Amino acid sequence: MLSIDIDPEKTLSARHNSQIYGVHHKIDFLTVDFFQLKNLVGDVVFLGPSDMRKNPNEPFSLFKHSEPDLRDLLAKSLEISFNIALKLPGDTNLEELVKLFNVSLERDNL
Amino acid sequence: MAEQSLGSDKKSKKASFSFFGKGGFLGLFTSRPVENDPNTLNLNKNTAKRPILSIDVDNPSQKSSPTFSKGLALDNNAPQPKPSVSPEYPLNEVLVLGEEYKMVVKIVNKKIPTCSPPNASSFVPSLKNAMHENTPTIIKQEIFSMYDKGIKAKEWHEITPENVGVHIAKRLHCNIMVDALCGFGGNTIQVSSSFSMIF
Repeated sequence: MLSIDIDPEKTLSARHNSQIYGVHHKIDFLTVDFFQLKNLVGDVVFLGPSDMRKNPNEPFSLFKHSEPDLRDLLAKSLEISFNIALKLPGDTNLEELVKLFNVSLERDNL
Repeated sequence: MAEQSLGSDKKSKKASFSFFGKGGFLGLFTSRPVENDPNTLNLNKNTAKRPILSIDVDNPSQKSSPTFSKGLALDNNAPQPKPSVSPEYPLNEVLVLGEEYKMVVKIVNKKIPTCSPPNASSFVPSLKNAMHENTPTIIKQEIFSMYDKGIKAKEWHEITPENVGVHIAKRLHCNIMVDALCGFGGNTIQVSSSFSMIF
């Protein structure tokens, strides 16, 4: 398990939390930018982008509200593996997924 | 290039388009319950409405002016009605299956049960609660079951709850996993506890 986050406070408290659960020996924590890493190896990439909505009544949009951008995240994580797991809020517009794949397809072919 | 055929019916969402790899898997987990989910909001409405009804049956004299404070006072004495449906997380699992360059998207609707008891009034780790930093301890214990032993976290609405993390760990059989945006480690802990191999 390789866990990456930019914020050093988050990785420190994540390590602290994993010590409480007793699984810290299985995890490597890195405080770096995910986009600057190279030659990563993994079976599955898990992405849980954060929710940047200011109005909670607005439905979650894949293009506007994810931080960092989902298209960049997918393009970067496809270099590691073809198996990707995404975690998104419950009120996500699922029809946007088709658009998302078309866009990242064009970027990939270029 | 990309073929796109998305039906207008919401029940049969199928889209076929070319993809950039060989046979891959893309699982999409939507963990957080929706605000206007009937399972969540109707529970609160029922428990709020039923004690007022019980006033009308017991004391018909108070029928003309049942105030809200009297309803709350009677609620403590009366046995609480048990709702039939326990709260659940909605889960839309999107599987991208297929051969080379031809992919089919299947969307499977499932539900994951929550740890919280069915009488819990507000279990939803919603965006509104997190924005006002008033996340109740019920929700924190729902997300981390060992919350009492000193879990450090902020922004509770973005952490993967434990039951969802266990489901993800069962669903993805893998040895090496990269968690690109781990946050406070809600997902990382549950998935890595299912690993047998140490990386």
